[in-house]
Amino acid sequence: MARKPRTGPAADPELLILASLASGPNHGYAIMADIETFADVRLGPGTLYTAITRLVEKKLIAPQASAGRQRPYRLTAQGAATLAEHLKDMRRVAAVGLRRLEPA
Amino acid sequence: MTSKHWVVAALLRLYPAAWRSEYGPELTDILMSRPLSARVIADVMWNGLKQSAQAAEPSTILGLASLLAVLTFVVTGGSYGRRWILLVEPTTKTLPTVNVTFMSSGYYALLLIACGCWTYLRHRGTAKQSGMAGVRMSLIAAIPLMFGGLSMMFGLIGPSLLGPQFEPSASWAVLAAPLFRLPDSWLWAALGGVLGKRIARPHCDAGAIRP
Repeated sequence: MARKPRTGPAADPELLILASLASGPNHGYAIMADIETFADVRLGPGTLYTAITRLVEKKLIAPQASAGRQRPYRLTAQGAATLAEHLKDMRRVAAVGLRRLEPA
Repeated sequence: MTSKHWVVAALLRLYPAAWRSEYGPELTDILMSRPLSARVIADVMWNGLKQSAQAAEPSTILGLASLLAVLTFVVTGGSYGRRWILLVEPTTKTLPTVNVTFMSSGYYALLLIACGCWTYLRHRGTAKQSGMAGVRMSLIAAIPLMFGGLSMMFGLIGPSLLGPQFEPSASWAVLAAPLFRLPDSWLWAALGGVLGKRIARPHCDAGAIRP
């Protein structure tokens, strides 16, 4: 059984939220459920909203107007660029690491 | 109001007011829509305290740290009578007749300088603003002493606890003693503000457009 990635860049709440919002705007609860599905990481509600607060302050995501109590958040252009940059870095490191692990 | 509503409202109180008005309704909805396990409660509590610490003024954080130091002094400082002698000492001056040992120490002066410096770096205000932060820090740190002085005035604890070298009317002096430290607190913290300005200046110069 695969071990849950609880630490490291693949479990960083900010990166996970950005990756979740890459598919379109979503509200807090749906982001949390989505992250649990695609990353197998269960973010606590406090951790989720602390990360959302930081991302809004950094202008990487933005809240959208909503009639209900749950506001959807969307990825900004700056957020999309930051996410792409992080993922490219991770892919490069992962590719090198996996290649080196292969038996010669 | 159910007990779950009460717990959620109490958890939300751990967050700063500005944060609550922005994100409170959303977090409340999420917490109400799922079971409140110990893990969820611990997560919300931890993040609430983190947010509050980030939003708190340096004078509040350092004032509370000093208050805890004073309380630790009282709780762990030898026999009951000795504790107060370690915290306060009589002076030969007309005013103040009692000196607060901890607040007169070099360590406390360093804390006041740190408070002034931190306040300047956070708000980029004036040395006067840093000085006022030092006064606020000292007022918070002095709460146990002032509470002790009030307790003596109302007869809840006896003035004999201060030791034989203190007069029975020393309760007023204990109550007022921290207030005599406020001008010093202002000066040290204002000095910290000036230091903060010196620290911040190289960063400003580095960002300036040169001809």
